[in-house]
Amino acid sequence: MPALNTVGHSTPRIDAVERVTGRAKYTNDVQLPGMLYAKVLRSPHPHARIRSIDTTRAQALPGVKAILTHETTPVVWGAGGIAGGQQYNDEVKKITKHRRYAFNNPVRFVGEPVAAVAAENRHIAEEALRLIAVDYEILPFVLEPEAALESDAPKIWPEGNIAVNNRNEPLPITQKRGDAHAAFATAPHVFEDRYSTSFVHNAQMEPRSAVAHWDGDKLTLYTPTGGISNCQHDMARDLGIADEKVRVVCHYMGGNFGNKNQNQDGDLITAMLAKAAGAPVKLEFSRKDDFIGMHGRWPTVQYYKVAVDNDGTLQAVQLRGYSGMGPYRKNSGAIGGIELYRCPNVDHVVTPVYTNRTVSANFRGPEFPQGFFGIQSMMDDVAYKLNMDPVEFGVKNMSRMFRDEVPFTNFTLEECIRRGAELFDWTQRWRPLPGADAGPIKRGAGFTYMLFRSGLGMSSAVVQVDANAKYTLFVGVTDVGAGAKTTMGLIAAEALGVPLSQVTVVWGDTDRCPYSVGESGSRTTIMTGYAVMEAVRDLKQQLAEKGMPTGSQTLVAKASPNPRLEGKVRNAFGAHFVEVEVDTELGHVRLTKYVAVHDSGRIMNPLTATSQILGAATMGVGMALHENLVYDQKSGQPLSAGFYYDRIPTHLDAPTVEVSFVENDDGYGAYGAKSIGESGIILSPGAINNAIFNAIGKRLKDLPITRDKVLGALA
Amino acid sequence: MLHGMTTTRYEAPGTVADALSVMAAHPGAMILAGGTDLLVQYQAGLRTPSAFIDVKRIPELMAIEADASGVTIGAAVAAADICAHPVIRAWWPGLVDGVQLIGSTQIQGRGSLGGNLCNGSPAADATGALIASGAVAHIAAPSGVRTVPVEQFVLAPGKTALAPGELLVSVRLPKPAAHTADAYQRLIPRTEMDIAVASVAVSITLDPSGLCTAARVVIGAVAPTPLLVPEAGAALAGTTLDAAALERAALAASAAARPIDDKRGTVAYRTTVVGVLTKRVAAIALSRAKER
Repeated sequence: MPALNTVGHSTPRIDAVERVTGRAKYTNDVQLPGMLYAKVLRSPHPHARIRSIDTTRAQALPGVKAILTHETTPVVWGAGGIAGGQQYNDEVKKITKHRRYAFNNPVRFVGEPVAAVAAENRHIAEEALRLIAVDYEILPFVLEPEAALESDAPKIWPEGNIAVNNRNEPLPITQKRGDAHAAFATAPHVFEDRYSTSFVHNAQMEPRSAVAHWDGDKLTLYTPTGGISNCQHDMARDLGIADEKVRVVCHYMGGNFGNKNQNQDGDLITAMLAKAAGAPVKLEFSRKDDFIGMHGRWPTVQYYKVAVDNDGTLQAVQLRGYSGMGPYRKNSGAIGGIELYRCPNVDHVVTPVYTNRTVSANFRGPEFPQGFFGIQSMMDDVAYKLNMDPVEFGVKNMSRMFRDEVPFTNFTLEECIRRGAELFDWTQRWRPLPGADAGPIKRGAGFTYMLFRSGLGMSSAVVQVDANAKYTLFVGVTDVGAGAKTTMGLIAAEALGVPLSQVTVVWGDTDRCPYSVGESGSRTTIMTGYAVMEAVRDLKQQLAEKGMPTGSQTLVAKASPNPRLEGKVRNAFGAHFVEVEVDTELGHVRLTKYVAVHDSGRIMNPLTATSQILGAATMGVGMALHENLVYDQKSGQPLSAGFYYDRIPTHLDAPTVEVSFVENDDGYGAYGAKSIGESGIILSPGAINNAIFNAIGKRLKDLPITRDKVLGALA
Repeated sequence: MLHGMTTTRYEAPGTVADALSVMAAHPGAMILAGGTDLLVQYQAGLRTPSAFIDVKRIPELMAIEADASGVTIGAAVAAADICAHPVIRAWWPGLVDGVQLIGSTQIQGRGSLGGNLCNGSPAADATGALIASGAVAHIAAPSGVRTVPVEQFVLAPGKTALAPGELLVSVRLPKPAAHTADAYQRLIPRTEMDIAVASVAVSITLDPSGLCTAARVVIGAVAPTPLLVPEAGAALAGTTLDAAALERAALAASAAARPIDDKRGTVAYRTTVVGVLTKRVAAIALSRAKER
């Protein structure tokens, strides 16, 4: 892989100075003349029918300018993909029986919006919320997916608690090959186990905020979004107006992690308040509102059954999985992991289930960290039971083709695992006999590997040059934290053959930038980056034909490529190796070594790529050891909303991660770039759990692995 | 919730006497020192005082006074100042163990010893070490000053020995006897900036031969108040803190614990780890005492 001039060199972010000096303007820095402040009244009940809602006293409060409820504002909120990524479009909106509005009646989780107020200041808005009288008929509720499937469980929707797809069918997600049942009957070894994962919140630094302003029939929405184009389209669809009547602006934002894709109900509520009040409106969520009013990762229960030959060759894998979706299906509820193994017989059935909890949806690798935790813990356990080194078991059984039939564009998984084992010194750190240390402090090592989508797709870019050879790149990206603006600039500079300083990047404004795919699914670099290359190719051709523009003229090139892969699947690969120290008297787990090896294709900017892996691995530590939105089973109230109560990792909880990249260029994407943003988190919970097993000889099966669970396992 | 429709007064008296009269005039007032808990709770709508009485302008509440027989720490002195004080560091390393665990660096610049104590929390990181070292609280009342041992100061979660109209002025620690040292540790769900799920403070005194002549063991976060456990102290006294003695102390500590199940820890877990911590903290106190 030949080196490039600009791409591939560590480059500080082009907006780093603005960010650290406070000059960067985030959504809640936006101030407009005559701007009102919004507050949302949220349901205090996990499930209740609103008998009546009286806003008379709130309306009468001086300074209150608009109040919305389910009665005044029956607007459907359509964001999200309800079945395996199928978007909630106009057709679905028309036919679905489980229609989700901006304000719903009945309310189905604690924190669901009941009403919203816009007032002259936030104190008046808060006072107005207190003056809204809501008469609730309390309904029975259910919090856990398996309990929700019991025959006597309270029904969250009249059709029952299995989440429906976009054709109103309550169908599980299935994947079958061969005959797993027959394999279980004949295989020499069959193992079964149950794993579970908790609801963890995206916990991005910046809580949701929005500023909406109508100029006649045109809406301008300032909002932190991982996709201005998607947000624009979603807002237009939900408001029943044309896409070009919505301008979405996001210049800076404080993290996404899947929580800010599409339009969120806060965006819609702010826009409708601004319309009703005839003035700009700003809405800012509190941290608690953000935790219970926005979505997090779906909790899962996973029952595995695995058949293996005497030589450790996998014969069959069965999964019966249940995902807790909250009361609305905002994403698929799938459980990833089956694809990690080469196996002739697969029987995978995952049922997404409605519960009376905060909604579950996209969070950094939506279905993978929870699924990889389950299956990679299960397989680690199988390896020990067969007296095999888990690394050798993994290499023996890992997928080498997608679903054992479609080749990958390149395959470096074994190289990632071997390099990781070497850098980590696996043979020295791994205990062949788990729990062998004398204690009370015991060490152990564990590993997991992964493959993860890196597909191609459509996006757009515009590049322009003026007479002074100044290049301007227009890309509809936002920087969710992964450095997209800088990366797009680097790709343009590379393609143009000019230094980065000669390229101005314009981003984050649907009135100025072309469509971009959105900062979700780890795809901006692959898709929009490729569009940048294509736009530059066009511009260079124009330059060759017409020469540099003169005077006030410019040359402009636009590209909207939609590349396809024929007969191949494109994946990123990786392996994480973790060493832990477990205090067997206190249950405290400390990470003492962490090696992460990734094939994310060609690395555009090693500085950012490395910090993506570090940040994601740290997020995985939180999921593995701490985070859980705990509910009181009796009252249905969330007890641990917020950074403190949810035990988001602090600096001292973050491991030192040694990151190594297996770089290559498979000829696709922007200069061979593959996905990276989500990869790091999906490996760590399983690797940490496997290391804990190696240290103490006891298998933990339920996330988070808190200290009392570790002591309980040792008791 | 901020109360936009109501107003909250702010008073900053310069003397204890003035503070007492302001308190008498505003029965719904709350004392403001660092504000690291109070202002956050106020912003969240959990506390609704009629007035804040800022005590940081009262010299006695802001001073650390060391003399031949001990040290007096003003109630509003910030954690960082306590941790930096050479006499406190030398005489009560266990108090420093606890105080330096309170919050973050920024919190330590504001959060006060008195605030930590007056929160009435069973999990407060400073309280255990104060009790272990036999500290007393000086309380100003309209009728005069009274003195209360710190182990009698916290009555229940959020409830202290302060009567309405009374002000905690300072805490007095008597100079440790020869070959005496203390230590403190806690267990938290994550690695920093958290509230104890269980904690232990120990102070021990050795004779010149290394035999323990007196020990005070205090357990925290495992009962409605921090608990001085005389049985645990008795298990250590008269021993060299050998493994058997430590085990007996641990059992006594676990037996005295009356924890609750909550989202941060279970009864079984807290009961177990408070014993483990007792052994570990006593061992640290022993090694420190031997160096004296």
